[in-house]
Amino acid sequence: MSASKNIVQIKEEKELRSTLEETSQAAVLYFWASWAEQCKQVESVVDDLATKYSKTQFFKIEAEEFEEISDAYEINAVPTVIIAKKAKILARVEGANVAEVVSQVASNCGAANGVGGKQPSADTKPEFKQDLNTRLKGLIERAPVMVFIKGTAAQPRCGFSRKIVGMLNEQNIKYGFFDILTDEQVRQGLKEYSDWPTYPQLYIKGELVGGVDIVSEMIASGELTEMIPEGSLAK
Amino acid sequence: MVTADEIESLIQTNIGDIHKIQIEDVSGGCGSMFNVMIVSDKFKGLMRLKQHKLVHQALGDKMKELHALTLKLYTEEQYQKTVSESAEAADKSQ
Repeated sequence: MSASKNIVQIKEEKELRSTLEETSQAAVLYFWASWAEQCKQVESVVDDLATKYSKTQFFKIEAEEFEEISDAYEINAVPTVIIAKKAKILARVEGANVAEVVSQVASNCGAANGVGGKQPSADTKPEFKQDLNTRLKGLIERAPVMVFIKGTAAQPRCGFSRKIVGMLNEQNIKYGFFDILTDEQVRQGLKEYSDWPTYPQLYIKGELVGGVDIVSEMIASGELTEMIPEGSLAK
Repeated sequence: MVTADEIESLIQTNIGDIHKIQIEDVSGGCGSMFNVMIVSDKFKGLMRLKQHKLVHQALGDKMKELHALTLKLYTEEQYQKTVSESAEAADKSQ
């Protein structure tokens, strides 16, 4: 995967300073350290976001290498993602809170990239919610066996999603998938709709079966194959 | 950030009747990812989905602070079975 032009690993402090001074748009600053395991997760999300929000400048900053910058932004922990506009900090996300990173970038950088931007207050209107529920139902029923994962079936972006896809493939099950990293509305909405707080989520014939732990146990006991409709088992 | 102690306390308080509980922070100390094993007869007769939801409910708002949770839930009978099965396997492999 080739890196986008709008994302740089800074080698000098002035790289950051000059860009921030020049642009009136929000920029994303990602602070990392090689000893913090969690950074890998956040880094891959930051890379993805850079591709999606191509008009926004993303900076990768090795926190301990650039102490002055880290101090200026009051970095206490890594990974930390800061969204800044000139000298102002618009948002700060500490730790591997991938959902929050995606949400904040969408909120603050969306408009500049023409991708929706801040969630309208229409969110809470009943008609909007009804439309969302209809949409979610449609997605869940899109295939007899449907899995909601982080990433794609070919390239899962999380250990648990990778595991569930692996298990379904091993059992020769034909399934549809939805990448919840591409749609924050579905990602949050589905948790509420199904009263299930995490991903991945497996549905069979429109009904929630569970996450990776449950699916794993059901495969071991033979229960899962019994639930799979005939057309979805590859011969 | 959540601690293993907080998780244990919530489960003891909100589920109760805990025969055995093991909690492991697998996020390198960041309190965001945990492996949790619980043995309790409160899980008896409940479908897996319901058992997991019981734990989610017990954790309440703390759930939102967690990035990931791996759950292995057993009734006392199920647990005894796995203990004896692994003992048998150990014997056989000698």
